[in-house]
Amino acid sequence: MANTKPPSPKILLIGLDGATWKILKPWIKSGQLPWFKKISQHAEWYQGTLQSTTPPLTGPAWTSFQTGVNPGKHGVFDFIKYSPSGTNEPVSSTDIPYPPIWKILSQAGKRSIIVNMPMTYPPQKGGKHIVVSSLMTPPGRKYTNNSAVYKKLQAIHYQVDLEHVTFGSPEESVNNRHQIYHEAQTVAKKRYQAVKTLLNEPWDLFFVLFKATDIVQHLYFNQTNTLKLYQQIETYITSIISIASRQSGNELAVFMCSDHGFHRGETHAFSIFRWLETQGYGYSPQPSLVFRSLQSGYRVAKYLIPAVAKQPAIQQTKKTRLDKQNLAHVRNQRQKSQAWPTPYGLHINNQTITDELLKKLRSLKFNNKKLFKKVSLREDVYHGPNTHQAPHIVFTPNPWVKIIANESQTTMWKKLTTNFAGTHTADFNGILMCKLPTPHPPITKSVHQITDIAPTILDIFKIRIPPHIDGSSILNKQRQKNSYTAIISQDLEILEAL
Amino acid sequence: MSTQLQEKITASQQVIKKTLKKYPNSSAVAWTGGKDSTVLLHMIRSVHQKSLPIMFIDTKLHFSETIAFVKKMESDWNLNLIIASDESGYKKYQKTRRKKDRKELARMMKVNAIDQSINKYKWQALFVGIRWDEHPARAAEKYVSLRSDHVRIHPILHFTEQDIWAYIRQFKLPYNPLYDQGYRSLGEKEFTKPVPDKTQPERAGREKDKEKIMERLRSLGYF
Repeated sequence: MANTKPPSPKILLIGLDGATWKILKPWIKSGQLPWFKKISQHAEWYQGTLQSTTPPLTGPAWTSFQTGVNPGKHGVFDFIKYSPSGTNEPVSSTDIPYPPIWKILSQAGKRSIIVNMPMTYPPQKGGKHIVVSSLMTPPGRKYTNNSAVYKKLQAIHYQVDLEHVTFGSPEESVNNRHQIYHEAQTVAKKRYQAVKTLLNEPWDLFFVLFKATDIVQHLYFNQTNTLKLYQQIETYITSIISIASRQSGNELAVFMCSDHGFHRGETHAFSIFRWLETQGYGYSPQPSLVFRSLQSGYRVAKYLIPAVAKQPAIQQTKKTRLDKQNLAHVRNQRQKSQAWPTPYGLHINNQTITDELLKKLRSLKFNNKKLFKKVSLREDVYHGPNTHQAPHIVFTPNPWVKIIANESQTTMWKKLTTNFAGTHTADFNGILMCKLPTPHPPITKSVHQITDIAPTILDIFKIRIPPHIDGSSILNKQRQKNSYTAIISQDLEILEAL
Repeated sequence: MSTQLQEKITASQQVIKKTLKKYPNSSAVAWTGGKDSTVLLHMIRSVHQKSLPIMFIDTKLHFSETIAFVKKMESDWNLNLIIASDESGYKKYQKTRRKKDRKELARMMKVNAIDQSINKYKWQALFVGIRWDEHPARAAEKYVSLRSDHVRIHPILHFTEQDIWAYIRQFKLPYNPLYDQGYRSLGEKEFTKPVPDKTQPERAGREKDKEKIMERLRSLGYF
């Protein structure tokens, strides 16, 4: 007797960090990305928009992607955690309290391979998943939870991220952009080689993120170098899909997504730090005498006895002492201010000024142009047990203005002469393309949330979507949100049936 | 009252009504004297005229303010209060010196008290005032949670801490005076501290290792 059990689908997720229709569509239309053009004309490929988190940044966005929950639940609002005690610490995978999709799949017996998902360092063990961590992996550290895989990737000289050049401040990066570009291409190639190696392992869900698109768009926005990189990645994508299709037949679902959009680099920098100071909300003491003495002492020592000053032990002592002083200085600022800033919002110590700050920020203008697209209370943007970690006031700047949240800029306004060609602080619109195993319900909406991907994966695998997930499957016919009312309906059905 | 809060209340009332329709004579409410379960209690009373059994677990480890509040509410609201306790657990607790062990015993006293009450009174449905946003360990909770011998009903899962206070203000509910002293989440006196800094999580005043075992607690039956 023939086996009538339907074959289990496989899901291939390809991330293109920062990919935006704004840049891609003209190249697709003109045929410069021929495979993208071909699939854009094919009815079985869906195209839409994937809306990012607030703020639209790699850290919170990919964390929402992998958990299906908003930042108020997963608690990642940036790459780093800002604290009133003056520390700015990197977020690690152990800070994220909600399970990523591969853990939920693992419990259902599904195997996942996750390559280069942000915020996964240290890669967590304990399940049917292989995780190869992403940026934020300290250099030289083991980047995967599987020793056999680590050996295989080491053998092909896998590289997690840029290692030989620094992609840092705009000034630094713009000056080194050719070197950064070439290394980003190399890293993308190594990523592709790693994917080809790992596709030989058993999997139900395979994820890979190409991060180079974000880096190169920062440097070149929509210039030729960006096109060349997309053409390079286009060949990798077609090859990856081809291998995955051979393994899965018609039961392969393919998604291509990005975490946020992109826009041209800002023309002006606004120091919200200085603004708070002039408005009387900020506290900006002179660095302490000890701090200044240390700084000038080291400068004098460097001039008088350069050979000694360059000794690693001396350098380390200097760094430790200065770090300690700097921490005390920032702590002093943050704790004695009525409000202190991050690039995406304000932490408020004196709650009575919240309304007046909201009002002032909403009306802030420069040359008759509003600074902020949106200014909100955190409770209006996020919900969940980690909402308290967000700045009390959350803002999204307009695309022409860069927000400076520390004391590095001495004036309130600065016209930017050197800046990234592109950035994404004000563009929430990422891309979503997918091809699903047939038959499947029609996808009726054109705009989806980044939290919708995790529940969609569960939906395709026919696994119950846990109630803590905020997003809803893009295949849900009724377009019913996975809200509490929907969960109540499901649970009351269970009660009725008892 | 905001429309959003009104919608949340309506949804909770729907859960309560359906449960009471299914189990009209075998439902009870777990009440701790804290803000969440007081809101739940008020909500149940607003849709159900009959007096349901109200279970309060007396571990003998509560703040005196909590006990005084419970007594006052019993009288003011004419509650059908059932005091549950685990006497043998308390004796063991008294003999135990290590804080970690005492904490474990305090937890078990609550689990045992619930189990004993469920057995004694044959309740089929127990209303409990937990919320999703209290702690990630509660994020996967359902409105209807099946147990071996009864069903737990969680009508206010979707309420935030702010919703709870908005409800208390809206209906002018009495509340435990400890909240005005900086406590945000109330447990046993020995293991609970005030959280004056509003930027800290709601349950930060309870000791951190307690949070680590939250999930285990839930599976064992402590709400």
